[in-house]
Amino acid sequence: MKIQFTFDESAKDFVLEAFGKITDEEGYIVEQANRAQRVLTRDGEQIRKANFAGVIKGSERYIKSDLVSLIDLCDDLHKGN
Amino acid sequence: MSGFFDHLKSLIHIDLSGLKSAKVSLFSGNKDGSLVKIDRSDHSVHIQLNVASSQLDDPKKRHQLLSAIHNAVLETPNQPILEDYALSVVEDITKTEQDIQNEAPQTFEYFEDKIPSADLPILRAALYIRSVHQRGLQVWQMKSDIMERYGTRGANIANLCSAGYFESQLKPMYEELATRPNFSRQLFIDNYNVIVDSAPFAVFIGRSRSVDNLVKEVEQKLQINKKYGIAQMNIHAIGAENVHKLNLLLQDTRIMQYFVSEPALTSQGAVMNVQIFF
Repeated sequence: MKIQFTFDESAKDFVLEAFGKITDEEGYIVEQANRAQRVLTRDGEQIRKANFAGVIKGSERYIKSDLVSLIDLCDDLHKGN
Repeated sequence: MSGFFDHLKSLIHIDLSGLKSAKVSLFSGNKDGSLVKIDRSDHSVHIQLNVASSQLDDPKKRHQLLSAIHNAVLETPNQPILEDYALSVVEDITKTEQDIQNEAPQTFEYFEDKIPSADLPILRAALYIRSVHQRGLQVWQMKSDIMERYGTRGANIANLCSAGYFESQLKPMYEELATRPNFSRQLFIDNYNVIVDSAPFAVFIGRSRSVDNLVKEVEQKLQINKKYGIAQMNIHAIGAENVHKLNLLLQDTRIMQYFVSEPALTSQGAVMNVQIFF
């Protein structure tokens, strides 16, 4: 059965916790086990919690909430269907 | 059966028989509120999980839920966890691109092998933005995303696309150049680059632009166009605030002095397009 997982703004920290991530003092998402290591998107961009849109399988891919990133995500979701 | 629910039997009590789809929504509500709210219909179920619930103060239960989410997302292809807004945009992009494909399939496909490949994601996003705007929705944040990622060139492509220039100007330009014996794709790209880098025959009124700043741009482009024998230019404004600025611009004596005839105005709601002649 296909499950659609969503979260709202208020649950972002919990979702990040599920993937072993927290935010640093500048608002960037970092590894909980190594706070000097900022999480990168597939394009190599650091990502702030404010721009965090979700996670998808593909090693562990973090998605930004800007339009071009979401169009990329659409392509990946459709390729998999 | 789903591994996700198998792992959470002690937290979520649900009969999965007959279910074809499930939506699991995480939110952080009242600490005293219940952890799980289940809304079931015949073949689907919506489960809302209050991650602030005191039931998750139990480290074992918290770990159980965290690892179930982690595993469900990372062990299943195409099963992301998405923020609500992102999901709504992804669903809308999917639907809109299908509509664009049905209604105006040519634009993206036409330019796909003609413009630089680095511009293709921008054009695709710009076509989506145009469609969102045509539905009367706000697009400034999306345009700002493009600007942030691709700079002025990205903003110009989005603006040119919004104003229909890919169909009304760039496509005819390609068709015309393609008739020349010395035609090459690079010849088109050179001309295309002039247009997308400086948008010489159009001015777009933006939220962050002052009237003085716009007067300078219009004057500058007008001088360049005159030099090349082009005697008209288009000015576009979307949104009430920008339409107001455009009206102020047209009444500015620094611009009016160049007019050889009355500007041609077309206005529809909060969208105004003006052609000036000089």
